[in-house]
Amino acid sequence: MTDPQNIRNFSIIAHIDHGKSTLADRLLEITHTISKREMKEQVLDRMDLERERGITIKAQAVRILYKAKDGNEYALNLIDTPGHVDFTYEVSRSLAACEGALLVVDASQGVEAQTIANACLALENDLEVVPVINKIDLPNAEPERVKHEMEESLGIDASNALLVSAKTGKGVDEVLEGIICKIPSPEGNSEAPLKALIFDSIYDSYRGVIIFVRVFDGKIAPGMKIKMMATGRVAEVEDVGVFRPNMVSVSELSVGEVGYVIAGIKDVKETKAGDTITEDKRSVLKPLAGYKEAKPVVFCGLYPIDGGEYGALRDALDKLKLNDPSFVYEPETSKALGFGFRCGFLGLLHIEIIKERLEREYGLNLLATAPNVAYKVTNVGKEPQFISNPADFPPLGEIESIEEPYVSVLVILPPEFVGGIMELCQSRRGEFKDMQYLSASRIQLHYHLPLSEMMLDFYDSLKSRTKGYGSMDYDHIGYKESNLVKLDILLAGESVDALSFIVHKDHASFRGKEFVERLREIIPRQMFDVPIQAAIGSRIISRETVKAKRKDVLAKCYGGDVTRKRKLLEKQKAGKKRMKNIGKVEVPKEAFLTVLKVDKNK
Amino acid sequence: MEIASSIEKYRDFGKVVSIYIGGGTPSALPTSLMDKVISTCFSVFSPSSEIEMTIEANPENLTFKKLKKLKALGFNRLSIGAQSFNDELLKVLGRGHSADETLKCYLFAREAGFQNINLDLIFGIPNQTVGCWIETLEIIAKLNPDHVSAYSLEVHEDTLLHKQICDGLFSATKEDAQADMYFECLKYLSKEGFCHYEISNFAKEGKECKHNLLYWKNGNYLGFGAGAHSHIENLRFENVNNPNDYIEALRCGKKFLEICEKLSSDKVLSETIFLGLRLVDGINLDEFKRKFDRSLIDIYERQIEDLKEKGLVVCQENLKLTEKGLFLANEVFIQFIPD
Ligand SMILES: Nc1nc2c(ncn2[C@@H]2O[C@H](COP(=O)(O)OP(=O)(O)O)[C@@H](O)[C@H]2O)c(=O)[nH]1
Repeated sequence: MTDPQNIRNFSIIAHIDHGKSTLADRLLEITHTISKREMKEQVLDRMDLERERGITIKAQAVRILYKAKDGNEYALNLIDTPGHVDFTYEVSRSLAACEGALLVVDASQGVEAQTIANACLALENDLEVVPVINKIDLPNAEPERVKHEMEESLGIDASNALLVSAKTGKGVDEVLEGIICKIPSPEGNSEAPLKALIFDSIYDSYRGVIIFVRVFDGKIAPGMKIKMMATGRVAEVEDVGVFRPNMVSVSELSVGEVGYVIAGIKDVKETKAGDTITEDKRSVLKPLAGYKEAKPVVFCGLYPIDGGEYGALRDALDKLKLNDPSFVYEPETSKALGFGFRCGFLGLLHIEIIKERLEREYGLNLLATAPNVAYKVTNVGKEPQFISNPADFPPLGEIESIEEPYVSVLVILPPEFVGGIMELCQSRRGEFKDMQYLSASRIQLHYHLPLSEMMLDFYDSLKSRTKGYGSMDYDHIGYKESNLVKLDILLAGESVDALSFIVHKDHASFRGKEFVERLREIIPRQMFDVPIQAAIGSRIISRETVKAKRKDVLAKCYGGDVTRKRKLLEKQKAGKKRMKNIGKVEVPKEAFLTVLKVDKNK
Repeated sequence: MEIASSIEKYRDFGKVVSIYIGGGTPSALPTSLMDKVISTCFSVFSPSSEIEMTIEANPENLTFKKLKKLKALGFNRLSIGAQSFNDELLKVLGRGHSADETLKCYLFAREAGFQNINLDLIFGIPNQTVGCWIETLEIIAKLNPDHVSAYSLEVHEDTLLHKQICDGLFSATKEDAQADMYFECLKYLSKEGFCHYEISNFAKEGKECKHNLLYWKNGNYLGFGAGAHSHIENLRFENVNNPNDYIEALRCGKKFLEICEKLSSDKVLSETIFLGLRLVDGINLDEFKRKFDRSLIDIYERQIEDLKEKGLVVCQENLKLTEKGLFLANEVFIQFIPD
């Protein structure tokens, strides 16, 4: 076992693109944890999706061995955290495994919303936050301004912030020394009953579930019977080890150490992030604090375009779920779309990731309905119930009250855009909370917004209204009563359940109108006129018509063209297959998502 | 090689009913060389007595002298790429001639003795209004050609015109305006005594283009020259596209066919149908049965019923497009494309 005195457990937290991955790579490289050549092959060997989007979805951990200037050899455990607000809970669990965090801020950009959100999470978990200002090689680096912003926004002392260029390697040695001097070593009792935090787990088809743990008390070794406290699952440990960065078996993981545990478990549902592992025989009484079930907050229907793929979709969902307990699904039937699944996710990115994996890895052609939140609906004289599908809303007359989830939103932006963003928040039913100058060039705005409004391309609107200089982060703050109604959409006179959505009464009429106009643009002309209507109950509030197609004919076709013309016709035919037939109307997949696009001001 | 031998096989395959010299600007070829092409042709193939010999030409490179020579070589049909009688629109299309040149060329051709002249027209040109199009049709009425081909413009991606439209230089005509123009075209030309015999083609009595009829009836033809296509029963092939490579291949006795497709019976069927339905008279059910040994109605019962219900086709002795079907022919054709 490593003496806890010589262990440091830390994370790197940063706003996206501020250099978290580059700094991590540099740390691994100068400590020879991994060679430059391996760097590309291994460190970056994440899911394709992660690489393309430049965000980490799963937590990762690496043990770095470092011989410090004081002559001692230290084991530094770097725990990488997911980089998106959808996965805030996982971030918080990863941070809970650490004693400290490097807070990396881009020297030219300064403090952004995720800087603050992540730093707050670290402070909440009682972590030592070590400020690092990165990219000081850039000509427009302004470390002094950035220090000032960090102090203003977080109330931390940034005067000794480390100045680094992860790109050139400048200052990276000081980062390693900083980790040792500033971040406390782990405490704990190696003789006490086992108490270890699960901060992530992945499913491996050969080895089963691999649990990522941080030991707080006691030790864990092969042969031990362990128990997951939240799920009650008992299992016998087969293997424990550390990440170098490949998995290397060790004889035990003791106090303060970070590593993996394999215990013959087949389903990540039983090893949830945030849960505490203890000994079956010598169980601790109190689990580690902070365990929450990661609950889905946004929902959408997933339907195979080709009804015959329903079974394949179910199998694919089952498989994905093995590795991602935070998304849920259950079968549902739509009058318009047939058989599919209502799925719950942690956020919009999470939806996209799952959907893309289903299409890419399982070759499915899917239609996703517009995401919505879960409403808490109380019918007259009844108990409140959660409704996650607008189609399931009770008729207007039966409803006594409706509550919807709210989020607290933090926006950081240059002062010249404040007006535009306040207007955006206002138009999204936002409640202004406060505003603070972080420096002459950055303002922090704080609003409460209904989550449903934030899902209506709020982020894109924010980006375009601030010319890309604004950033945001949000946090769930619970339910509040709202005056909401269900808007139904009718195509060719038939109500299409999968297109109905919930909207604030005051917005119903223009949102309905806008949506109907968008649908008119996106639904191709058919052989007959297609009226599109929006209705509340039986009252039609808006109507447009997709005029019947009048001309669709290839101009000429002679000898040389025949093959090419046939190919064009084949393409046209294939295009039809990608549409969903609703009644007699052919509707493109995108139509179901257009309800999300509301900001014209782009 | 299978294909080469199949050409050999067709060497003495009946009489040639049509020769069509087209693509690019064949009229630019010196007459002496054209003479050589024609005489070589007749040394291998024997012409039918009613042979149709067409040459395509752009107005800008035809002189009276040239026209007379072509006539003397035996050409009895001239197809002029008029496109439009509006100089502004000709510029939009990037054409090198003016409306005046077309008129002159047409009159010279008559003077030179051509009694079967086709004018190619294009509608749906960016910036064109229905009014402009009717003016062009009025000029046609005055000139009284024997044949008119009227195509709606398809703007393909990666063309200059497409870029110009995207850049806002010209405004594309909308689907509705194109439909109106096509409608005007049908109405106007039939009033002027033209018979509408194919989606985009109109002829005075007896002046239907034999050559193109052969394409639409999915008949056999041989193409010579770089990039030319041939069709023999269930084989479609295409000569090497690059002229230098083509010449090189011929000189060295190398392979000059680039693409050859052996059509499955499904494809032969679907091609026969979408080509045949381009003809206003459609497909004769008896003829079809004789050719394929199966009844068209049996094979496509569901599709035909559906299309009848939508008012796109009628089916008696012939399966043919309705007027609505002429406007929406692709909707009909794709029903016959195999999955
Ligand atoms: N000039 C400069 N660029 C850097 C530095 N560190 C990172 N970058 C660049 O900033 C971009 C984002 O870095 P990355 O590590 O992917 O950011 P992450 O999203 O926080 O992981 C990449 O293009 C890096 O090459 C630095 O110190 N100087």
